[in-house]
Amino acid sequence: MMSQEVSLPPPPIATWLIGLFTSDNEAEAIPGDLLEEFSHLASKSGVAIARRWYWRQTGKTITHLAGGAFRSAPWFTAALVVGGFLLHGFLNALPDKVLSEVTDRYLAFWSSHFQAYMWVLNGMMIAHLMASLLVGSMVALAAKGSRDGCHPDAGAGLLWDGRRCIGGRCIGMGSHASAYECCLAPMGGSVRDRDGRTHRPNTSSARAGFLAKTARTDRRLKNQLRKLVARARGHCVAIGRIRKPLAALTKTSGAASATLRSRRCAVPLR
Amino acid sequence: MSGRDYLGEFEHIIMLALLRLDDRAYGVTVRREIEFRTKREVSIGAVYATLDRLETKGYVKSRLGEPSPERGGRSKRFFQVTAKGVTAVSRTHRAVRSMTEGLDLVRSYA
Repeated sequence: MMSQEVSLPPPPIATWLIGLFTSDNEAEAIPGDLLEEFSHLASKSGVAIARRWYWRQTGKTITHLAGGAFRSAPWFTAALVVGGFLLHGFLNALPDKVLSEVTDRYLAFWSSHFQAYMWVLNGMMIAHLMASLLVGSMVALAAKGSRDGCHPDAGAGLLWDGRRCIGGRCIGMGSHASAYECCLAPMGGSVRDRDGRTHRPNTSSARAGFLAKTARTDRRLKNQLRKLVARARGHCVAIGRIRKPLAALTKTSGAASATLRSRRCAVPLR
Repeated sequence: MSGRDYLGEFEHIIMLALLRLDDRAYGVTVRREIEFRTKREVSIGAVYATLDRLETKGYVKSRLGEPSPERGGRSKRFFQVTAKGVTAVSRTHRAVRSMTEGLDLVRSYA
């Protein structure tokens, strides 16, 4: 008898952790694969085993993704880790400093309210944990950004073969500078490759993956991007609001149009 | 010929899994195929890290499939071996065969 697939959500913290480390290239495939296997395993062997498997896979996957970040941008990632340690040390020293200041100033109060003092001490532990989490998340997000680039999931006609965008013909990727050239090319511009040849892509559909990424990472292009998106879709879109609609654009252009239509701009273009 | 033209052990295994799976090769099927045949647990992260490396070398290419509900609306990323990849696999295979030729591994070293 065929067992029915269980549609239970995987552990949300594990999913969140994976999301911290996956680059845009892997943001669809890795969580999707894990969810598919989790559902299959949950229906076959039970939810507890599936959850354990998911956590194990999360640990191993994060290790590999972090290793990938070190391989692709070793100096940047190393600098991030060192910076993270320093920031961690600084942030963790802050609560202690505040506590000692407060203790010294209100010594008489604390001596008569010892229970409250113990409660504050416990609160310090939570503050340390929060600071560690914050720094860890910041380092993971920055390392993830270092691995982002032009990728094959951006939309039809603009494929990434590891070194260049096929279709957009944007060569020498790995930096966001090149990535937004790839984005802009399909919007009516052209791109010059390393050999000096000019390429004018023949498609006019928006390259949402790149656009959304560019919006997040490159301030110089924000205004230009807003106009390009508006021209492409016939709607004005506030830059803060385009992230989700643009993410939807990568799925299908029809769905994207609908999404954009349903989200009228909060900040009209001038 | 440079050493870079040969595949590492796990790269070799992944390439063979892709060739076996043909147009059904994506993260889940590749991982299962390797686990089934080699009896070793493999993480999705290891599979994707290797596939990304192979894609950068030009040995495989990938495309996105349709989003499906059992994956929470996420697309599958299908992989395919390129002609350059097939050449790399057979070169590595030849090297291994050449190195093991004449060795009776079971009787001599077991």
